[in-house]
Amino acid sequence: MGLRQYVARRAIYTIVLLFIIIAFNFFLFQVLPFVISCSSTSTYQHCFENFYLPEQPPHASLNASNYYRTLRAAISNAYGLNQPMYVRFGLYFVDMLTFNFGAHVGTAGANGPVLTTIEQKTPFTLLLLGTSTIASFVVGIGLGVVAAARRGKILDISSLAILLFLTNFPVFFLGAVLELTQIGVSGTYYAPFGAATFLKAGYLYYAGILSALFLPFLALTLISVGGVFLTQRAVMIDTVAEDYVLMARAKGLPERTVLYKHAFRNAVLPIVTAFILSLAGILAGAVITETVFAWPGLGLAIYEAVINTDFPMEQAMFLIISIMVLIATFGADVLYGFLDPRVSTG
Amino acid sequence: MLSGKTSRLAGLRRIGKLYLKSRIGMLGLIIILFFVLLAVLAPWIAPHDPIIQTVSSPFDIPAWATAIPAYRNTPVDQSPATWAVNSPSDIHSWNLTGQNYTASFSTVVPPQTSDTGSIFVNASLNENTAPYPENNYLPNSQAFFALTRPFEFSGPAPTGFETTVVLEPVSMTNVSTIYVNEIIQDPSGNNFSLASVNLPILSQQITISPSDNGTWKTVSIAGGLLPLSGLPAFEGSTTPASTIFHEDGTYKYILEIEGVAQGDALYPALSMRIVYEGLHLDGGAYGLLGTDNFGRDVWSQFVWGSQVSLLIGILSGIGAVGLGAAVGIASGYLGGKWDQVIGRVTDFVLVLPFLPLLIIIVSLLVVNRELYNTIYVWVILIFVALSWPFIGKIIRSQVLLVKERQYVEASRALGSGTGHILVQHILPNVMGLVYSQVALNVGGFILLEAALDFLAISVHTVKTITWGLMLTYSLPYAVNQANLSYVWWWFFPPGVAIALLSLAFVLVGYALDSIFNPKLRAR
Repeated sequence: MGLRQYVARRAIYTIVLLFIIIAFNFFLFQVLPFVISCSSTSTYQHCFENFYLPEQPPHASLNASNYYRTLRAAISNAYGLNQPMYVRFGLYFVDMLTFNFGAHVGTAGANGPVLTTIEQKTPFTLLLLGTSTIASFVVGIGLGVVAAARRGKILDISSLAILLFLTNFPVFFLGAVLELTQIGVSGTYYAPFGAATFLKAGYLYYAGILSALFLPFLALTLISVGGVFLTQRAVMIDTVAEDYVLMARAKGLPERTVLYKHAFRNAVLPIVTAFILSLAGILAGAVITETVFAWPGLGLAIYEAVINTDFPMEQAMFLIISIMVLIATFGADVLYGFLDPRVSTG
Repeated sequence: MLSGKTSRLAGLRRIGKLYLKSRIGMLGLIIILFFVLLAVLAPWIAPHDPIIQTVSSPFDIPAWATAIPAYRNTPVDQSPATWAVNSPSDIHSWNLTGQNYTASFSTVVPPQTSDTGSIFVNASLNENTAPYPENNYLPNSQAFFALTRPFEFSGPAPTGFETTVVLEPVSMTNVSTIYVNEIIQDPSGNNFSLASVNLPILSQQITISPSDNGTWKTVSIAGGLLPLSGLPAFEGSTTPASTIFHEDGTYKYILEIEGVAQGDALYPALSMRIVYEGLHLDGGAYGLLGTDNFGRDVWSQFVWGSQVSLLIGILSGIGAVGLGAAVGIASGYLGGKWDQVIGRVTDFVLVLPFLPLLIIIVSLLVVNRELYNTIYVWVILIFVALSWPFIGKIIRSQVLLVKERQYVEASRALGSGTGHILVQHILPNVMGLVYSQVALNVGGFILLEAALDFLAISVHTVKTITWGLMLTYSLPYAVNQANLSYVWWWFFPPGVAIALLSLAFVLVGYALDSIFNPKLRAR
């Protein structure tokens, strides 16, 4: 099996998986009991908005009027709910492939087309997760290599202990600790995005964004740098024990050259894979971090969608996250095929 | 057979010895043992029900924090005068004065009271035994008695106090009204009447009429919450609490009960049951970890909270790794079609958005009344269902390595069946990885449960408190723009505990990993 064949097979497999995911999304939201949000205590309007439209009105007082039946018919028509399930599935499938996600539903959530919301929130999530992913990989790789080179020394032990401890922090706890630290150090409170950019224009607006970005960026980086550090350190230690490193040392090459030219170049591969896979998470947003710091990204939007049973938004985000993971996995597979001949030859 | 067993035991002993040598492994184990002890001993070491409110005043700092200079003058919350009457001998600690009374222990308990008994007092003015008072304007028309108990008080004056007495008139003869007075006598001998007709203290004066026979009455008095400046009784002081508790020493609590005779009738008689629920002095400091915004005991919450974190973390860890190991072994050992199918399912679950899906499923479960009762089981099942693929992949690759080893091949050549090879060769080589994976995953599940709490997808019944919930509740007070004195005693313990416990499991995981995987021991 050649490399080209291998890539083609992975591509077909990825596309099949994508179709399965879309089908799963459809049936998941068919099965989910949205009925529960239409208990007798909630308003029937809310039930309409969540597409819970039983034949019998959810409230006895609606029996007399024709209003319920008319409204039900209108909503059913508008959303194609009166079609049989396979027709709806077909429509849904086409909608998903064309990114036609529909409009928000729910009483308390956002309004308008779902795609607009996603377009608005994507830059913020990319900004937060992009910067923190890059930062945690740069710091994690750097520290990991240095720690592996000085194994057992103060720098190694202390960075190991601190980063392991930080990695196990609940991110909302770390967030609050950082806010307290900011209050302690600068005497000012953390201003979330809205407050930092309120009524500001030009460069002040962007300065506001950056000042609101700092703490969530720091929290996310501190939490995720530990994982990168540990992987890089472990791989580096394994690599340093390889024969060719011994050979390089035996040749009398300076330690610096041995470490960074011979060992590091080989030890960086697993980390590159991890980096590609973590790129998938960038669009998924960081639900908890964004909620703690009220950062207007996709993570917070997902959380709000769940709270408001805004399922077009949920479906859209599920699909986008799945696609990102699929692309990243495919990318990693292809990269491996290029770098490691054993993979593509089976 | 026997030799196989002993060699396995020897293997276990060897692993134990290696583990004892691993410093990080022991550190993790000690931390885990500490929290397991906390969880197991919770009923004994938690002084209060974690959800009972106003155990003390809200936002109390821990009692030990008064040693810190910044909090030096904070009065400590105390209950210096709580005397449950649990046995007949307990009533001897009360000093009874009055006219011709008898007192005995009564097993009758008022409703909604946790005490196990009450004092039964019978007071009467008997014509034959009591001297007829010549010049006294009261005794011949009053059945009067007083219960007195001394108590010690020291420290800064409290900011307020509360007392509660529950009493039930059992029989009243010739009595029209009963007055209840609560008095505190300071070491200098000054009497401060808490509930009486003539003192304008924050009091609840109750009068009991004959129709109240057989019903329990509660007298609750709270003093010190409102400034009483300007009143003659409390001149030069702002609160009743600081006026009464102005010095260290032996105070006396006095409960006076007088049954006033009906009309011209003489020799009134009165018997009643009394439960004194104690005197609580409010301060700004209480207990081991202070109190939260509702005056609930943070230490009790912390202790009980450890149970949920450990339970969900460990059970999910075992479940996820169990399923992952089963799937991984099946997929790795059987290979072929099985491997294909399992691989596809694994890939599918890995692509699903983990946290959003988790939030959706749990939030739907929570709303369903019937499922809500067994919500922990469901949460654990969802954790397991969404996380086994990661573990399955790791286990599978290990099985693939072991399967190709020569001794397995030799065993197969000798005619060993699948079961024999699995039990004798594959499992022993995979178990190390399984143990370390359990330990490594438990921490993640503990963090995940806390995250659900934070996102207000509360998976708990109202009566449960968890570390995640404690963190969530304390967060607005910890980082409050209007409140500079943040609630460190309430906010830090659960957060640090979650981090420590999850770190401890990771440490144990690493230690096990390096024992079972000698290549890693070099690290």
